[in-house]
Amino acid sequence: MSDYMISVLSLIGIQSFLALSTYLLLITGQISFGQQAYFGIGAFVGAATTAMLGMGFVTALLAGGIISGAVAAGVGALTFRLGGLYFAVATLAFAELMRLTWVNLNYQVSVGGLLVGPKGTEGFRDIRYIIDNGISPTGYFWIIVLCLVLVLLFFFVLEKSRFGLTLRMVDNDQTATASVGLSPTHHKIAAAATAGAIAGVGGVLFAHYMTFIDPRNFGVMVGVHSLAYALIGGLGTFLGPLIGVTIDIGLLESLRVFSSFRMIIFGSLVVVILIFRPRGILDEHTVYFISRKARVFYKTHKFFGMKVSDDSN
Amino acid sequence: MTQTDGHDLLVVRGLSKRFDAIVALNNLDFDISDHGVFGVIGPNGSGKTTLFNLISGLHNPSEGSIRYRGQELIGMSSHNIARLGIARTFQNVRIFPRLTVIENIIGAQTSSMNINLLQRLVPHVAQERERLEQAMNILDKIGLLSLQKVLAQELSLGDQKRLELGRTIACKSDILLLDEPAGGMTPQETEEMTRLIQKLAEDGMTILLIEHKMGMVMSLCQQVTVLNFGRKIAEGTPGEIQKDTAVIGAYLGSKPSNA
Repeated sequence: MSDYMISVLSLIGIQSFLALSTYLLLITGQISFGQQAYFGIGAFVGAATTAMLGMGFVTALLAGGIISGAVAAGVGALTFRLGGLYFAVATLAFAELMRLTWVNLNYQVSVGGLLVGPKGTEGFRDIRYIIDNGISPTGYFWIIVLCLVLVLLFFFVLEKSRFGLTLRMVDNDQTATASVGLSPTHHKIAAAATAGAIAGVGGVLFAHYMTFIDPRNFGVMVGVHSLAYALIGGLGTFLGPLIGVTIDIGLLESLRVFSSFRMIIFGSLVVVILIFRPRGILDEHTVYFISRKARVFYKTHKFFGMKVSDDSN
Repeated sequence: MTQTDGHDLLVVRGLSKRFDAIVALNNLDFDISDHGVFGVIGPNGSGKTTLFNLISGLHNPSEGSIRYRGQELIGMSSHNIARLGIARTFQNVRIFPRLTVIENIIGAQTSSMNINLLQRLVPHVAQERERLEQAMNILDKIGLLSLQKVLAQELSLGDQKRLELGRTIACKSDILLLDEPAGGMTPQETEEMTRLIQKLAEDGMTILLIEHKMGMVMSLCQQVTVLNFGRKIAEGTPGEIQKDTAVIGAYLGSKPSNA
């Protein structure tokens, strides 16, 4: 693969964390414009962990994920009392608050004669862990893939689990969810914490991929895009947001199919999809239809001699 | 009706609910004992659904108390009240429209399973198999087994009402609050619903029933409470209620004599 291809795929991988983070809240019925806040927290915490504290990359991933998740849980506990639109605005406000925090954050320490750390609008430079440890772009791409696969595995388990079912119940009808003895608020906070952690891990990967980050990386448009990814791709399965990211970064940005018309095309695409497929390309109906077809196909063909249990009774 | 204080499952005392100038419920006293079907009837706007909303914790009352097995319910959140064993249906059906029929039932089992977050993510296979079987049995009971993989929003109104009833069964509750379970149903569907509720009562459930279809109320209930303008105007067996002059007055539109 060419270096360019690797960089495009790496970016798709990193953006997928943001898209999945927004998606997790969407399947719980919460619209967030502010997941870039946790992406940013993860990026700065991760960068500080390796560049300032001199700790390892895995520690950075854990620290970024855990701290972002904890902040998201706290913000969620405070803002979930607000309904729909008000919650959406609150997420946006918090993300801007975090961006302004990065703008005003000046804290550099000397590491080996070099000043490192966040320096206001100039950002956080020299996040050199990947270079210093001789990891090639291809190698780093596979690290991103590994992290993404772990997150996707989590979503795979989630969507088959009772916890995932409860999140979808909250999206469907909060009053009815409470009426069967499950707290909508607790589940929304749990979803927010998990979504924050996922965005945070993405942020750590982003910081080390870029080697320098600045507050502009975590602006409003980042959140708007990640929401669009999930909405374009669809809310029926976690593969939806990946499709959204691939369409935007893969086709529009990287291949420059529509050159400078990219944002116009992307914006129009969002509008068209919201009109004709309000729950995205892979919405619940489509996923249900495909899985049903697949089941029938599976049964009639008996792949690799495996006997598939008849669960339709 | 004989009072069995101390053994009563649900004891309501002095319950009032005001929405600004409107008095939806006015100083209501109300008891139900373990087992049986208890009817709540009255003209539209008489406070029946408000009573359900207060018991299930959807609203807080202006005054009064509601005790379930001696425990005060006022101030508890609705999911905690549901966990105690009080399940309900809604006048305007509230199923989970974008989930399949079987998922609607399985989702309702979760809280009664008493499992922690991790167990909700990674299932215990044997336990889940047993739960799936129970869910199938419920679907069989409510006659929706053949539609188990259909999205709930695609069901007819009658089927949605039955699914909602099935969901309350899946909660493994002691009391079911049914708000017009036969509302909008055809005579034949109503008859099926009546048989279903009868069967649940025979299985040992306590059922509180709001219904406008009098044939259903009279055949199912052992005790009927009549509300009008937020007040209790009569209480007794179906036979007594049918002869009560205040009840007849309320339904025919004249002023309630003892309000």
